Amino acid sequence: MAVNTKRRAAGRGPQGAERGVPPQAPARQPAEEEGSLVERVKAKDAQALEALYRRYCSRVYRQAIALVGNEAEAEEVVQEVFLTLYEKAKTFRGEAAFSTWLYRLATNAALTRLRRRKRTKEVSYEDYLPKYEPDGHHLGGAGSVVDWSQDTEKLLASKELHGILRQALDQLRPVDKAVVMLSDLEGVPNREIGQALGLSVPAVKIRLHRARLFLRGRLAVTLGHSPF
Amino acid sequence: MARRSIVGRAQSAICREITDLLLDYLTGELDRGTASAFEDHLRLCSDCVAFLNTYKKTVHVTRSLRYESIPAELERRVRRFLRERTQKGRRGR
Repeated sequence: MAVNTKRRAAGRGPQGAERGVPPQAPARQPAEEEGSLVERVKAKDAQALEALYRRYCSRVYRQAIALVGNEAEAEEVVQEVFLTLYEKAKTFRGEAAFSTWLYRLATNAALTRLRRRKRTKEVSYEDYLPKYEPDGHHLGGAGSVVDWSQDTEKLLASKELHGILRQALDQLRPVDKAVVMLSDLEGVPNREIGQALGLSVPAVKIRLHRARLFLRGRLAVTLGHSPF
Repeated sequence: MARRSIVGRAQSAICREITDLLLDYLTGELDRGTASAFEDHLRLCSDCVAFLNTYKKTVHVTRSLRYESIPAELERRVRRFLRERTQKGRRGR
């Protein structure tokens, strides 16, 4: 079967050109022969594995470190992903893009580690999601939502906001964190995220939206405003 | 979950419905009528404008996060590990 090596518009997926949200810089894409390299790995060609490793190790590492948060476990994830690639390449049938398959391997390896961890005190999403009056308008009536979007530049420049956001990301449920990482950091289209995580596209969108609402609420509180 | 259409009722559309449509609005996945009603509502509701702006800022900050590249020594270590494991596999055949 032909291997699906289709390329994604780099950096952001098809849903990526969001209004008013600057896209990430395009990532470099594999130049050629990905399909034949995968076929060679299926035949236990170690050189082909190394070629794919060189091509994808940075991306897999970035995904791993973003999810597990420390270098030692990220290294384990990278090892596991490429070893699994070598041992189970035959199970890759080319129905999804090869990169999607790797996302799945990396995400599963990272999520396994996250789920093993003793859960620290769980933060309730509900405390940070928007609240509404019984008639569906924002809680507190007209003028209750503060637009703090212009107050963040100083914090952004000092990287303080990034530290706050990383903490908030760590409070997301593991699958939600994976969805945000794949969508907003890697620019993976929702369809591929769904394939990688075993979720439908609507489920991906619901998780992404809810996670973003939670992050927004956390940022609002940090900046001294109501999360609602 | 089925959503009630907001087309033709920008004034009566409620903020909860607008929040539910944010993600699709930002990715341009709303049909023209719904997007137009969404924007009509924004012209009437400063709270939803503020909410939209802060939601977009959150996405912007998330996208500007950068995680470090793979450290060179770690990259070499894993490469060596893979070589050893694949050679062992070949010898074991």
